[in-house]
Amino acid sequence: MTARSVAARSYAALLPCVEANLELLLRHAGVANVLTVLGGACALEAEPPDRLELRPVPLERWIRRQTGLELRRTTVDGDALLAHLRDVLTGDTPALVFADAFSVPWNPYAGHEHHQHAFVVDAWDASGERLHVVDAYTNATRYGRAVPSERWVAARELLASLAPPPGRCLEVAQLAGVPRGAADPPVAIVRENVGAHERNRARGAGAERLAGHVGDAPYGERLRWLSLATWLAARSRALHALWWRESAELPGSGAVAAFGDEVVAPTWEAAQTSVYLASRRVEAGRDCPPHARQSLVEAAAAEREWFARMRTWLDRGAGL
Amino acid sequence: MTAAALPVVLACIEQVVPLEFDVGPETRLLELPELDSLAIVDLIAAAEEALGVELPAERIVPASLASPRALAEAFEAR
Repeated sequence: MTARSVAARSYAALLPCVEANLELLLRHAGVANVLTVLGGACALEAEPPDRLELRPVPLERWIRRQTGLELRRTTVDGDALLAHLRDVLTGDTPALVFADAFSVPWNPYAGHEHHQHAFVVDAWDASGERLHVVDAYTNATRYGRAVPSERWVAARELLASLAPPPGRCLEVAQLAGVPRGAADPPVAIVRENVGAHERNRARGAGAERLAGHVGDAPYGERLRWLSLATWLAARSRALHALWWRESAELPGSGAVAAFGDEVVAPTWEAAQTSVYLASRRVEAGRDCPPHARQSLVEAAAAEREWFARMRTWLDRGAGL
Repeated sequence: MTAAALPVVLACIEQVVPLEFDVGPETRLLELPELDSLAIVDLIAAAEEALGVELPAERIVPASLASPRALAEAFEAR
């Protein structure tokens, strides 16, 4: 696994950090339908102040359904991590190591902010002292850019950074099994997405909930969470729009795909900019720009219309 | 007064997002890939500092970022 292979035909720029690296594991395992695995499922269930689901089912269950592969997680005491990695990297199966971005030396958030992160380790060098690390995370942050990269790192130094004593634990995961070709047909996926969207809206947990969460001053924590939530939603919608565009087997789906590309994804991106701007203004002691809330109202409206078009497409026989 | 704010805004754009072409008063800012949300935060902060005025919260809207002239006008419409 190399940085070149990371950059080639990757969806990393449309994925959050853990999923960008999970994509590497899926590709290494030989999964053919990576776009469906990562971008086919699409919903929005918001329960502020801290819960946002962007798929109808949890990702790991979704992966199992679409590929037959299972993401097996092991929690390892920091001191045992290196021995564990020696055991699991003896085969040709890379591992995902979960860590706090604050303590990942090459991550732009290192020393600045705490976020869940994960990166791939896939080999030891001949000396047994250095690990080969690949990290597909792609993003522009206020602390610098994250771009797909690979490096050899001194394993003990990395462990000291990731899991300083006393005894913090780390989680390591690997994909297990052999991928099977058959996945849910696209029409079934769309039906599941639309059903989840309609249920979430009916119980007030749809995208409109995000606009309502802006609330009144003081805004601090709410805007910080909304900024992250909107960033995640913007990437999710851009990837799902790509899934529609590339799912050529969906006859008559062009209008839904175009609406995703031309309206939904840009509207969420504009909301992400607006909410991020508001978050930084409030953090600097300034007033919250009212447009932050309006931008979320507009994103929710675009979302509503998109799923309504999907419903119409399904009700008309999914173009068949 | 736009004539006074406009050159300042143009200079701030050059400072925040070095581009390989000249940015004019009507350049469509939101279509520049270099002007992402991080750069917009920096651009407004730089212009506020250079002009010595705060951009009112209600004027932080996409229309104010449509072009350097629009941003200059947003600063001046007090």
